[in-house]
Amino acid sequence: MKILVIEDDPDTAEYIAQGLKELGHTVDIAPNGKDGLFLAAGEKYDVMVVDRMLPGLDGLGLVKTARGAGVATPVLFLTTMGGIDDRVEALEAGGDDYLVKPFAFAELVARINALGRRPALVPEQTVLRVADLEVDLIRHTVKRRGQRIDLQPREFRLLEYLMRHAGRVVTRTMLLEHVWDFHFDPKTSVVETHISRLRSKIDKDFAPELIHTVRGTGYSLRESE
Amino acid sequence: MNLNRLLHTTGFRYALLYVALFGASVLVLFGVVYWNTAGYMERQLKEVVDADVQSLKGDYQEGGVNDLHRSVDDRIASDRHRQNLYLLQDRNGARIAGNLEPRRPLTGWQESVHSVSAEHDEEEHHLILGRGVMLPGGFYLFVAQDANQLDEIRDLTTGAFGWAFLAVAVLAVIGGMVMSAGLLHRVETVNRTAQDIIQGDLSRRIPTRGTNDEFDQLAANLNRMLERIQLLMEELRQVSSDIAHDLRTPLGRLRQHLEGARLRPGTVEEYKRVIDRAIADTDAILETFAALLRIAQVESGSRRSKFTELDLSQLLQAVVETYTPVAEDGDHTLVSAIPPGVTIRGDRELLTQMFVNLIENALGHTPSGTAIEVSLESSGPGALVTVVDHGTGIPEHERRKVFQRFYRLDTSRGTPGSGLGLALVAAIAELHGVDMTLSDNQPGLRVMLRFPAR
Repeated sequence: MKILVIEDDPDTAEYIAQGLKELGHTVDIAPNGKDGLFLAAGEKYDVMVVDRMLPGLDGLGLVKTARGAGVATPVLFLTTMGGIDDRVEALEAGGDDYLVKPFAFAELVARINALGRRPALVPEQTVLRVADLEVDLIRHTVKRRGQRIDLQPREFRLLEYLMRHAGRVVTRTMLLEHVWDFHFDPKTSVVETHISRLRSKIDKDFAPELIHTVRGTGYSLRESE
Repeated sequence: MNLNRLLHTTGFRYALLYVALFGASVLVLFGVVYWNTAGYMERQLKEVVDADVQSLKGDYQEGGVNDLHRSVDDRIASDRHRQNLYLLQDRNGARIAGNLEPRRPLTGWQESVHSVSAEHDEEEHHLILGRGVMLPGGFYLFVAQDANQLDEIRDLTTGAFGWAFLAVAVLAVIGGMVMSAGLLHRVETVNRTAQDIIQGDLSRRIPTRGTNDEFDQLAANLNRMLERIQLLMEELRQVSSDIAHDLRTPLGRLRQHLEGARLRPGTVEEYKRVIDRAIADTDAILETFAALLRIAQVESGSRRSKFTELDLSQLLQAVVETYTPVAEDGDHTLVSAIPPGVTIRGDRELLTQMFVNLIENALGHTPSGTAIEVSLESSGPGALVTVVDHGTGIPEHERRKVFQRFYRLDTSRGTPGSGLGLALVAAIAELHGVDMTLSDNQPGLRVMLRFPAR
């Protein structure tokens, strides 16, 4: 993927760029909002990573301007710790996701992947399929190898999210935010508990296993290792 | 206390206002008295002159200038007090009869000065008040009265009131200064105390006189305010040192592990383990910071403007649904009684976190095999949420303290937690105007959250 990183702190920018390059991505860095906007408007990127606080033109203003100019590139905002209102503002300004600094690198990669491979304007699917697992979003039914499986509402949402991101890694935080709407870190193992329940329903009696644990990062739903 | 200061006091300004007020009263009084004395006398004199003029005009009409001449002479002759004064002159300004000098033939009322010879050949200047009329044939008749008494009364009243005004003004200014000096002294006391406090002595208080007047009440209120500020400052100091203390421990541990790894040669795998552990330690520290910032942000109250109408039943149901399997895994049961359709105004994200913290707190501090009960009641115009557990509970004297940052019961030192969960609960409850009470469930803890009416 071709990624634009707009970040004024050189250490952070270098840390992000270095890591992403090692994963095979092409990375451009802009140290301020003006340069960032220039690049965002002139080049074609798959994802932009934008720091919320930038000298000169700040992150929110940059994304608003870019969106106004017709730049549709998915944006991941980086926000500082403790700003509860930042998320709402970031999304309202036209951001697609946000990540609170400091973050684990795996978290950043998972979110960039989720944004960058988002299919552009594919008609909304009503039936999601991975291997022999089938989720009907209209009828709210789940089948594996043609066999009906009953899920709790929360388990259904969890499975739907995993299916929509099939083949990619989703982190614990991404699940908390999108499945439970929890924008904080619970002390108990909410995600682990629900994943284990879901596994026992869709993976236990069937092979191959579809839900994989990615150590230290999260989970991935895919057909094989 | 210098004069300049005094002149700028409110007391002194009031004194000036009083000078103006009393001055105006004196003026009104003067007007009334003047109108009733000098004014009365003037009107009397004019009446006499008018009558005389009418009568002389009659004489002229009946018998011409000769009759008029005679009448004037008769009147002068019969007036021993020389009170009545006359002048009759022809069109050339020559006197025909009368005891006044020829004058410019002006008609209407006039005041002028007339010299009279008094005893011992001395001359006196008297005020005269008279009226001139033109008669057919070009004759000019001027009839006047000696108005010396009127003049004296005018001088007397004006003089008396002038002095009275001066006395009032002087008294008001002196009174104002004395009054301001008194007030200023008390204000100075408050000022000095404030100065001391600014210098850093927060324990200073404003002395009261025990008279319970406005100044005493002001001082008492200020003292109460200072009390509160001092308390808050102490709390702040406590929190700061708690933060320092609570962060020193994990930071110290982090350093220890890193140093240990640095000193001992190890394999790549061993180093990786140490680094992973260091990252975990750092994350724990960052989490404490995030929690502190979140509490501070909730306490700032800025979220209140983002409150929306929300379905409390649904929100609570979602939390219970999420935590039922978590409780089961921890060998607890989560029981709920949530009727649908209870709505309140609030912040969805924060309320979710509040209930999650309360349930997680109950899960973490009660023995396995016990139940946790969550219930919702629509109580009148508000709502009541109760979270009950069957653990060891919280001793009564510690119930208030558990909502302080970093406060942990001795019995829970061993369990994981930052000591910030309930502090955040308290902050969120406060933001929503929720009345939160902890009580003994015998055994266990009962947390009652009373939401206010919308």
